[in-house]
Amino acid sequence: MIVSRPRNHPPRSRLTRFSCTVAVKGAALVLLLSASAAGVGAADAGGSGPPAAKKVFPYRYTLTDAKIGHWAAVLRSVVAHRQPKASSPAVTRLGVVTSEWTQNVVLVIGGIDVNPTQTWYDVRLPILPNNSIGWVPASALGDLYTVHTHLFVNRATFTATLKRDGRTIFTTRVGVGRSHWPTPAGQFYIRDKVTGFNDPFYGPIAFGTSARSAVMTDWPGGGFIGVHGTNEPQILPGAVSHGCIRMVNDAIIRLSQLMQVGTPLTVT
Amino acid sequence: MSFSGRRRAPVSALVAVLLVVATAVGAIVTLGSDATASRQLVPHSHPAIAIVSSPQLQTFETKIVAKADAKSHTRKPTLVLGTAKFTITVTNTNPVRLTSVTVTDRLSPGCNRNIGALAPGGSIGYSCSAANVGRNYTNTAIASGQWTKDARVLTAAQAATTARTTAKVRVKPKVRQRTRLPLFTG
Repeated sequence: MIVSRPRNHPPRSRLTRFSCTVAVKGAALVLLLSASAAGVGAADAGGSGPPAAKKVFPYRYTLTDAKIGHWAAVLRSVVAHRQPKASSPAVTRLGVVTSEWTQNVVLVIGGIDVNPTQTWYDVRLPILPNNSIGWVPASALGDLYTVHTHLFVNRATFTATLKRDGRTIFTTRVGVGRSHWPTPAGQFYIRDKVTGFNDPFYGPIAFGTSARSAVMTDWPGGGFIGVHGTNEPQILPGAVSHGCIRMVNDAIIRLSQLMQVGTPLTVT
Repeated sequence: MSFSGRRRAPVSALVAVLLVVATAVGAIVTLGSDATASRQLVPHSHPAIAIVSSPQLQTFETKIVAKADAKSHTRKPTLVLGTAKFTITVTNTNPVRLTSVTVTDRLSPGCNRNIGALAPGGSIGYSCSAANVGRNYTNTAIASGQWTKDARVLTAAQAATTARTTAKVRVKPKVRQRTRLPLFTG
């Protein structure tokens, strides 16, 4: 700290513009600050400084709200528990790969530091019943990634709206599930992004979500709800799908440029 | 810029402030130890050992591969984590022989080495790796060695010398698969 302080001085060329008195006063002020800072350091070293705010365990915190979300990759197969402890009942087992052969990720809603070395994360689970959550040890997940976008789908108005930091940046009309294959409502997240599959039914790009159809449970892959393009743009918007959220291909391409995997999804 | 007689007073004030600061800094240096005694254990001011780790930054994606299941005769997707690779070079930059040279790497145990003696100016390099890397980390390798008693250095005791190097490893989760058909309900 003492060494770095002088770097805060104005460059030499600027220094010449000051009068000598001002320069000397400035130098004296900086040196006095250095001396006081050194004094604090000495006090800390001796343990006689002001007590630092201690973290009280267990320490809970929120990682996803209406504007910002956090997601993490599942690095090893892990059991999600009802409570942040290994002895609590299991909710499900999370795999490392999705049914589309992509890296499985989870939306991390919050966390709890049980002690200085053990952390558990509260994650949204891609299982039935929808809106399930569970606790997994942080050691089973990779690094946390921040996402500033949130996708909202309104089944009544057939609209999809993407917000970034609470501001609308994209909106389009969509098709949702028919009455007997409804798109489930609730809180979900974008789980993966699939491209280059050459199937016009899904359009050029398909996003997988953590939402699952409660009625099409025998669908290959488990009946996950997707957000994708279509080869039948003329029937949009409306209740036309098997549960997926369909939009015209131009819209899904634009959405893919704005939305990344891990984005929270709210279906109302 | 020349100082006029009228402006000499602030300079003397600066000298006084410098004295105050020097006293304060001196107080920190001598905290908890005898500065004179510790100075005897450091024969040279320049570093005696150097360690370099490369590359400084490496990034890789996690990989998903098809793994055959012998029981069910099916192929299942499996996540394969990346392997970070490092090249580490240790150099004795001092004109005296070093003994018990070791490299300690807590986060990448595969990079730990017991090198032994290193001649003046001598250098040794090796490659190592850390498997199953699932998250970002900054790897730190620390080289340490012992000075042997030497007539050219003004010390009677052996003194340890260490140097450290860091290298960053970044992992990018693979969240996109280009060839697989989507299985969403549609």
